[in-house]
Amino acid sequence: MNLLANIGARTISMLVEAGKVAIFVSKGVWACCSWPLYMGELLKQMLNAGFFSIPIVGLTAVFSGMVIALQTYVGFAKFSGESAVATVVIVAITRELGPVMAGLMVAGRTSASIAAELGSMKISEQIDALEILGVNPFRFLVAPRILACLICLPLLTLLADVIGVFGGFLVGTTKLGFASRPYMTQTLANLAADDVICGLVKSACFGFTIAVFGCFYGFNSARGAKSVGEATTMAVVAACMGILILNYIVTAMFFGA
Amino acid sequence: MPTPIKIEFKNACKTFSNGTMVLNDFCLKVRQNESLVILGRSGVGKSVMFKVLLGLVYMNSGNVVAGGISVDDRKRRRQYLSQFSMMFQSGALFDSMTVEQNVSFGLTNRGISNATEIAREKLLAVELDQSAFKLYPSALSGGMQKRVALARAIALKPDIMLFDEPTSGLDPVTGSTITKLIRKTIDKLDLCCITITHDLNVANVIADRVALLDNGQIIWEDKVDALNNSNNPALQHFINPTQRTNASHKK
Ligand SMILES: Nc1ncnc2c1ncn2[C@@H]1O[C@H](COP(=O)(O)OP(=O)(O)OP(=O)(O)O)[C@@H](O)[C@H]1O
Ligand SMILES: [Mg+2]
Repeated sequence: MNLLANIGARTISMLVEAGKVAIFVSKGVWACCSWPLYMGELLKQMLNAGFFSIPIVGLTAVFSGMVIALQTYVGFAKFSGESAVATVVIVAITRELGPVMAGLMVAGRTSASIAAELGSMKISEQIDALEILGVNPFRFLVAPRILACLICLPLLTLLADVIGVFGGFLVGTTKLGFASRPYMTQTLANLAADDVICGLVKSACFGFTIAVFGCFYGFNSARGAKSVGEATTMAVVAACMGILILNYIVTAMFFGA
Repeated sequence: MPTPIKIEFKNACKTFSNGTMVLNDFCLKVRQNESLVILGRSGVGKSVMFKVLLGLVYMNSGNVVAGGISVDDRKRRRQYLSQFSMMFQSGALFDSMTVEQNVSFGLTNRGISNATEIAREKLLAVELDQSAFKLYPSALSGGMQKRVALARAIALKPDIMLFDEPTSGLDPVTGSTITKLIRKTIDKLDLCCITITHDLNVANVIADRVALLDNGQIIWEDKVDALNNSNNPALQHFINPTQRTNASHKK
């Protein structure tokens, strides 16, 4: 009986949480579409979420590309398919690794920083102060962050695609003995607009998820430093889960039958 | 002839979800161009009362009306809030903005063109050194933050001003300057003002009327002159706790 009650209570609290997120999302989206747009804030957030994520995204991408080339070579050698390395690298990177790696890295970086920043603003009453000054906190804090992530993640993904392919190229030509010109020709021949577009759509969804969960948990942080820490953790966990789930959904929409 | 009532708490009740009862059938009226000082022990719910008034904390029951608009009128929320400016107990300065931007931000947002000039003028009025204008709040001392918060509150010209412990943490000289500044602002703008303080000197300068909050209700209120010769036991205890203890010891 106790177990049942427990499960029931958990389910209800999860539904409540989901409802809160839904309301938050709708307010956030509305704030993104309505005037005024705080341009300065948007640029600041784009710098934070986009520009400063370049090193970490680049690094992950280059190593992902390298490892994919290596693994494909070793694995495909078993049935003499080594020549497919360039094809596998470009397809894997543009479809999956580019957007997902970039998304997860930015989730770790940006969701956490958004949640921590908004959480401490909340507990030091800065969000209340904004409201009293006649500034809608959703427009001033949430909208710029959502828009920034929405704009920056596709750009970061493009970058990750290029760098990842370059990583594969590096390993392919220096370690695995492919000639660089045929490798490039093969890569370009297998570069499909569909794959890239799918990756960009995914990454835009990821960007939205990252910003929304960061803002949501920051805004709902309870009082005290410990709660801000918890909010940060929750934001990163939720954003990463969201990314992996959305990844499947968008993939199924593009390629599923 | 008494001026019209600007703020009215009608039987407001607030109990937090952890069971802390803060307001219990709380009633209060404040008239236009009247300055009310609220006294009360620490933790009695003064700051929460401000938040209830601003709709930042929801009441369990009762109502609050300010300038003819009810707090829970979500459609007129902007209009409701535009009547207020508030100085938070903690300062609540925006730490992503410089001191000057903190003060000018609200002005710019309400479409006032010479916001920076007004901000500088107010910052000088609270005796903040010009060298601090471009600093971020994290680089200021507690007292300096307090003064910036005050400057931010008085820069707007609202109908109602709320000050939550404007002088706590300040040295006596600055404290008295700030107190006089608040009084001057109230007189100049003819506004309705509620100040929370523990400092009776502040109350004597700022207040037209004084109220004592305890147990979620106003248990005493009167003109400021009555403060020192009232024989309300709770008030006496608040004003002069040691004397009261001695008296009860003698008993
Ligand atoms: N968000 C909250 N959740 C739970 N309890 C709260 C919350 N905010 C305030 N309280 C409780 O409400 C009571 C009143 O708090 P409040 O901050 O209004 O005190 P105060 O009268 O302003 O005291 P002080 O003079 O020290 O500032 C306290 O007991 C506090 O613990
Ligand atoms: Mg207080």
